[in-house]
Amino acid sequence: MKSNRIRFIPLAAVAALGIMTSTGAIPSPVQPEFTGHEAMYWKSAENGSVVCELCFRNCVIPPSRRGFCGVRENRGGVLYSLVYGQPSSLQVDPVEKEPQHHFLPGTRILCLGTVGCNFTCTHCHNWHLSQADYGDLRVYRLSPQQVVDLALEMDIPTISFTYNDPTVLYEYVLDTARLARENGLRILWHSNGSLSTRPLKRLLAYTDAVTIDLKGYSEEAYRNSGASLEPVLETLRIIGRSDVWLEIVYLVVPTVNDDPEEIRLAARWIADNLGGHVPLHFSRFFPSYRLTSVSPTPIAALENARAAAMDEGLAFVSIGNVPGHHANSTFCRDCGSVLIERTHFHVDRINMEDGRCAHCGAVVPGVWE
Amino acid sequence: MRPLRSRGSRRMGIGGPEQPGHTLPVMLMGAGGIIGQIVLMRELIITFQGNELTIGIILANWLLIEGLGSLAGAGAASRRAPSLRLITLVQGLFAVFLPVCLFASRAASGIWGLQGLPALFVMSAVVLFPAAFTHGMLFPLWNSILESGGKVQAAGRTYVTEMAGTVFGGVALSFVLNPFVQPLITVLSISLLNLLCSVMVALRGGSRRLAIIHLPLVLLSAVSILPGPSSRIRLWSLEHRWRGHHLLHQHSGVHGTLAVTGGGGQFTFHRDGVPVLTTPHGDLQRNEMLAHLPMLSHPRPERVLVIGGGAGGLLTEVLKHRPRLVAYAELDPDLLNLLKLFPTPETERELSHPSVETVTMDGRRYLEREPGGWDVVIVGLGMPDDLQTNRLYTGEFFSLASKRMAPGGVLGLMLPGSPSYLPEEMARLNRAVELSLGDAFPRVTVVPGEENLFLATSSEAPFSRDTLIKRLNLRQVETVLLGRAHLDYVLEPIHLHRYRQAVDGLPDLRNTDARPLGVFYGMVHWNRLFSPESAGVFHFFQRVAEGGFPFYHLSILLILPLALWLLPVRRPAAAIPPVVFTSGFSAMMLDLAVVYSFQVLFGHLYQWLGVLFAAFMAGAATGALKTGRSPMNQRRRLLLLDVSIVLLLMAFPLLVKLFALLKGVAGYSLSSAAFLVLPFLAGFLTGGQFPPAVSLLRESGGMEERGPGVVYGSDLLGGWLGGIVGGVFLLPLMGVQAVLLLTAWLKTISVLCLVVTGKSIRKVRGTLP
Repeated sequence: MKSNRIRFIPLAAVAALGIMTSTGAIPSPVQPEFTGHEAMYWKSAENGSVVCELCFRNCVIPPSRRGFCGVRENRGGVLYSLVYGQPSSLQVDPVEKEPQHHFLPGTRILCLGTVGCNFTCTHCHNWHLSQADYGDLRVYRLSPQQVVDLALEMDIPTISFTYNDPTVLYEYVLDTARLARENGLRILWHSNGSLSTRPLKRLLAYTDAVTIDLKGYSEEAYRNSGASLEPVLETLRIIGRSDVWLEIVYLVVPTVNDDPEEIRLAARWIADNLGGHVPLHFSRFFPSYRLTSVSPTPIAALENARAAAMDEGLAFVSIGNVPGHHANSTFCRDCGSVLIERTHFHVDRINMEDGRCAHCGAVVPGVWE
Repeated sequence: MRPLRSRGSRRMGIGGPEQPGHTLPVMLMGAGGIIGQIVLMRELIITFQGNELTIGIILANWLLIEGLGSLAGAGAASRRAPSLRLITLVQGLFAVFLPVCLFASRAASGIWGLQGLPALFVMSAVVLFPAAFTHGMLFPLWNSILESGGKVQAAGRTYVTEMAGTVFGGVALSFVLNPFVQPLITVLSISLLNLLCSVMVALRGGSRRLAIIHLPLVLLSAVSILPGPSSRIRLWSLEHRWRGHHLLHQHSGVHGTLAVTGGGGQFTFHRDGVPVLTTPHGDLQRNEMLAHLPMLSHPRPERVLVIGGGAGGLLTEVLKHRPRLVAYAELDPDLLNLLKLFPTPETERELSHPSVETVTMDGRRYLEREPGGWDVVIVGLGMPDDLQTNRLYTGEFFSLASKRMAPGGVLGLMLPGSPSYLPEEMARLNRAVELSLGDAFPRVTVVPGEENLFLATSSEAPFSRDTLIKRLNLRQVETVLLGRAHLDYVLEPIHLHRYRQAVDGLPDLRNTDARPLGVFYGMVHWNRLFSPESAGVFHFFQRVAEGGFPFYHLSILLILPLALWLLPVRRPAAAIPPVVFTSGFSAMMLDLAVVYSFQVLFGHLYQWLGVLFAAFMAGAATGALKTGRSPMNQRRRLLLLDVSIVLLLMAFPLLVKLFALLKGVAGYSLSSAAFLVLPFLAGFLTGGQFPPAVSLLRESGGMEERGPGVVYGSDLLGGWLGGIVGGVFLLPLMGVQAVLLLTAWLKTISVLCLVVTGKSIRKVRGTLP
């Protein structure tokens, strides 16, 4: 991908990079089965129980039971991952859909997701995956090697673990990431930011980019997701200190996390703790899952949020899920010219050279090649 | 559609006289019952974002609770001397509880996680309980008072008086109260009338103290109805329903309750609690896909019909192709009025555009009425998860659309999709609609996405991305999203490949008017969102229904000999409860079949709900009166009615077809009114069974005390089961015809029981000295 060397990429050229993929390599979905893949980050407890230490919940799982996520099971005092090598979703998308605006813009990603999640967001867009029971959905049998082979065969530079939280399929993500790196592919994951410190640091060693959903900036907002804010902030701090490219999504949900002051505080925390260069995406909510009676986010609320975040020192703040909105594009923080012009998740033009603004030459943080 | 109280609660044959001055209270009891029932039902439908199928559950619960109230009332009346004071107290409680139930229904909207079928079942019972229970107590209490007068023939007249109130209430609600009066005012008015009635009764009973106690409540109710206080109370109660929103307007109309919330320069229009439209920034992606792909698929679209969902962006996109005529059929005039009340430049522009002809009419009816020649028809609605919407996604509608289209015309519609994973019920819905489309049109193209777009046409020209782009450029249509890049993305073969993986191999079931699978899958989907733990119940019925219809017949045929062996031989009287049980079940199935058929045929159920209920009640009353007076042998009378019910169940689909023909000849209004014959007939036959059933049990030895209670319980159980199982699962899954046939089988068992036990009785009598 040489997007950084092209000053004006015409739309057709982006489309010509491999659109109209062959589907011959996509396997047929089947019923899931127990593969006997032992989980990582757990320890034995009393009476045959185990403690899963993968995420902040630290579930104590009795024999023959599963953790909160529903996909990690205690069988005979050993914790197993039920979803290893069994994604339920397999898709090809533009990287902008994650969203990632500063990571190989205009390229495609091979997206995978399984059943299960350690959050219970009432507005989850992928609830039919994240909140489904193991065994209810059909799966693709794909080992990490097969995932890598598929990406190579389809000429896709990045593998993305998305849809449900990659925390609950950690072992699968880690093994795939290792192999991807060996084969020159990139790894991206989109998460709620709830991995415990040790597994997080281990996975970051094989990760190129991360998108973290910030569900709000209050414990009250996180109650809507059945979770807590502090572990997410800790995850963000750790990723912020690493070399991995980080972008943050804040889905503005009316009545849940749309308080302007809360949004301003979130932006201030990001600027102070992670730096003003971290892209922040304010995304528009549409009724989804159990939050079907809530109205879509007013555009004005998103624009106000963006203004507040930029006021707090964030340089790259965009508005998502509003096709045609000018703030869906990326602007140079020095001269204000358009760096990457987008319509929704399609890249129209890239006005950059070697990671610098084509107009003023300012360095633009991100992964450009 | 179940009457406001079980037929069993009318203890026919016991009755006393109707004393002068009791006409008004008894009529009020009837009117108050049906108005309270329907207003609360509509409120609960908003709370649970439900559809017509949830009516079955709410109705069943009302029936059960009212039945329990009747039992309690009968018990109270039998333990002590009839007392006007007790009636005063109960009537006063009913008056107080009715608005309390309304508030409870609205407040329940804010209870976290309160959705899904189990929650609907439990919460509707909790919310309805106070009003339904106290209302249920009233009839036996009045009956006992009037019996004490000693005029034996008066019971039937009392029954008729109450029925007259019910009919009056149903009609008034449908044509006056629902369209013009807020539900809260309606309920408070009923409360006030009941309280006044209580005062009057208390005075007649000689209890001035009780009358005085009621006076503050009367004053409170009267003040509450005044414009200022009622407005404040209304807003207070609505704040609970719309917690966190800025409510700008709420209006209870003939097609549901519309509300407008706003903020940040945006309006969101909700119907029955569900957002249906946001202006000025609606779902642009959806509007562009749904407008432009059908328009671009046609070489020269000049006459376009948009059915529902047009305002707020879709019309704007369609108009970019400069068609000569865009007919926009919107069922609910209230929605268009609200769009004018809360305008945006976009909605004002599209609704006043010279090419746009807005028709406030059911889209299907408009398609039937107009000569056709449409180049493009776009169904702008969302998921077909209620009967009203489902009518636009059935094989019958597609067949009609194909006939009304010009050669090469294109039909476009959307169904729920998912780029990540298409859940099974959504896959089944997509398949059922796709197959139904395929029966009417030679070519169907699917464009999967967040929502799956279906394009159906008789044109031989292949669907091609290049043609779409060429036409887009030639027509100089300016879009935000839809261009080469977006088309490349949405038409990537992987999307269609994954869609086909999800739907191919599923059963070849069609979505039809009589078998509205779309509604069932919508219900499964809704339940999966809020109550996934109960998904197994839906799967069970789905598996059984897909196992084939003969399975049912076979199982019934196996049950039949067992029933015949067990029931009549030992105790002939034991046949009566199953007979009444199956009648209760049949009554409920017929009620629901009436609701289904009316919605499918005429497309405006909400306005007529009260009238349909009232027609059934009037039929039940007339039936009970007629059979009560008939000199015919009780058993023979019961048998005759049982056989008639079987015949009605079997003939019902044919009768509905006759009404469909009548609609074509006599028009909508006349045929709608004539349709009331069906619920009346259903009520007449099932309502007429109670008096002979009670008499037969009383005649049989040992059943004098428990007899009526047993009959009453059997009737309740049958009706309740019919509402829950039949309304939610059987009707949409199997279709009206199959379910009524199944019910006819069930009823045949009861006929045979009666025939055989009749012989047993003759035998027993023959052996007596």
